[in-house]
Amino acid sequence: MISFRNLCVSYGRQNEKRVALNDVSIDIPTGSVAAVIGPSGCGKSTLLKAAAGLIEHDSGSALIDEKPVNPHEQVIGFMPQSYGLMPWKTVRDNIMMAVKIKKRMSSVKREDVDALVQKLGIENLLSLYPAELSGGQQQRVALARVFLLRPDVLLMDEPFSSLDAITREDMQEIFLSLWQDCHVTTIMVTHFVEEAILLGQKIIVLSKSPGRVIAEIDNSLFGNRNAHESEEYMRLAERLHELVRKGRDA
Amino acid sequence: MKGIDKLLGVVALIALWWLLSAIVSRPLLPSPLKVAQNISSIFFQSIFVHMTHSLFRILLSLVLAIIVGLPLGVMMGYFPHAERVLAPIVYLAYPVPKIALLPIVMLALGVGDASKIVILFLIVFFQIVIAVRDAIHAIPDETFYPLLSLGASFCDIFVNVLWPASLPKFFTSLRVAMATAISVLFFTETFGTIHGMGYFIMDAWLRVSYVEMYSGIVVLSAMGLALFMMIDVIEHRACRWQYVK
Ligand SMILES: Nc1ncnc2c1ncn2[C@@H]1O[C@H](COP(=O)(O)OP(=O)(O)OP(=O)(O)O)[C@@H](O)[C@H]1O
Ligand SMILES: [Mg+2]
Repeated sequence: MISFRNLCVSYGRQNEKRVALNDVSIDIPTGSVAAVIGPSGCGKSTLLKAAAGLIEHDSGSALIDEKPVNPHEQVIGFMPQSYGLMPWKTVRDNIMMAVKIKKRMSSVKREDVDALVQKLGIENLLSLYPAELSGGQQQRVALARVFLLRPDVLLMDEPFSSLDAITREDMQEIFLSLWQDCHVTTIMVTHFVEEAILLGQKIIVLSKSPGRVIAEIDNSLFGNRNAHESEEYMRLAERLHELVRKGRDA
Repeated sequence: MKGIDKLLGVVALIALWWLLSAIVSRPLLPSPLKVAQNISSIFFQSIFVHMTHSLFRILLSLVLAIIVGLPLGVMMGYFPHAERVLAPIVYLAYPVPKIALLPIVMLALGVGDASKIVILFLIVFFQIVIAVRDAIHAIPDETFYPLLSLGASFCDIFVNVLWPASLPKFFTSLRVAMATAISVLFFTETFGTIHGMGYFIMDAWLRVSYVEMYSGIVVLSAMGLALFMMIDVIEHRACRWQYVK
């Protein structure tokens, strides 16, 4: 379980602090996906960085299985907004980097790597560098890296936002199918209402900066690509749009 | 530059020299053919010894500057504390023309190899420290996130980010420093030694042996070019990711 308890985070020095997250409390049960949605600059990336132990918080806590987040002890799969691939590493080395650093090389079987790479359709790109890949291909490599790691928690920052619509749908499918295999506890940040409904079992809406939780919605349409036409989908999408708009203008 | 372009450049330079020497037509500017003949006849008898001395001095100072400068640049770039302590020193020492320190260094270490190597070292060292530090400063925070979220050690961060990210600027600084270092090498070899390309060239000049003097200049230039090409080749190997397209 990932839990935020009254989490407050701010940037800047003492005298000119800018609050980015204000009293955020969320629980994401083990083995589920939560989608976080909110206006630009509301603190979505900040929330993930706090969950990954990358930034200090002023008060409150970020916990993984009731223990304070600690990248040295827990295995955290973090996918930053910009994919986080190392430009100087080949695709293969980028994929293996995470398991190497976590000293999990011995538990990774060749067949696992091959199967994963095949599933993501990047088996022919392994010796290329990130600069030689399209955005969608880089995204696949980043997915391969975190899923090979088999992390305790998975944190994804707008993973599919910069892709074109068709590629995004493909990537969402791939993500769903990878996730179904391991059910890793996941927070996925997005700014698309449609994506939140497809990929979030729980949808969390943040207000504009400083971010607060303004709604937490359990979503029964998770993983259902064919729900688009249904009454329920329309109502939920309408409600989310409303909430995001309200959070933005509040 | 492709190999063929470099070759064309050399050919053009020699053609120009030839043309000028034909126009001037005085011992002051012998033709490239004469110089080439001279080089081939005296290279192993005399020039070679001088060349190895010069090469030894420059390579040793280069290696020392890398061994000391690279870790220092990394520390200054990555650890704010190290930066705070060392930056003022580096900032003040960097613009001092190192060649102006030569008298002091010679008083301390004598006129032999040690003082020459120390001066060359200082020239290359500061370039490396500054280039590596700036390269590391320029790495965006996000680049470290995937590693930090894995609880990576400093060693992991060095191997996976700091080292590869600073290599391109490191090589550029080496190239820049090398040009200065070769000029200074020449200068320091004009006294306190009877070995080195600087000595060879000035000695030929004093003996009014222009053909030998030009032979020395050509060999020294070729040496510089070879060092440059060596850096290029190593860079292409080490930073292959920079050259993909
Ligand atoms: N490194 C930083 N230094 C200072 N302020 C920052 C920093 N990073 C973010 N902020 C501020 O914190 C607030 C939240 O930023 P954050 O990046 O978390 O927003 P976001 O919801 O991810 O936005 P987007 O949807 O555009 O990615 C913003 O107002 C931003 O200006
Ligand atoms: Mg963001």
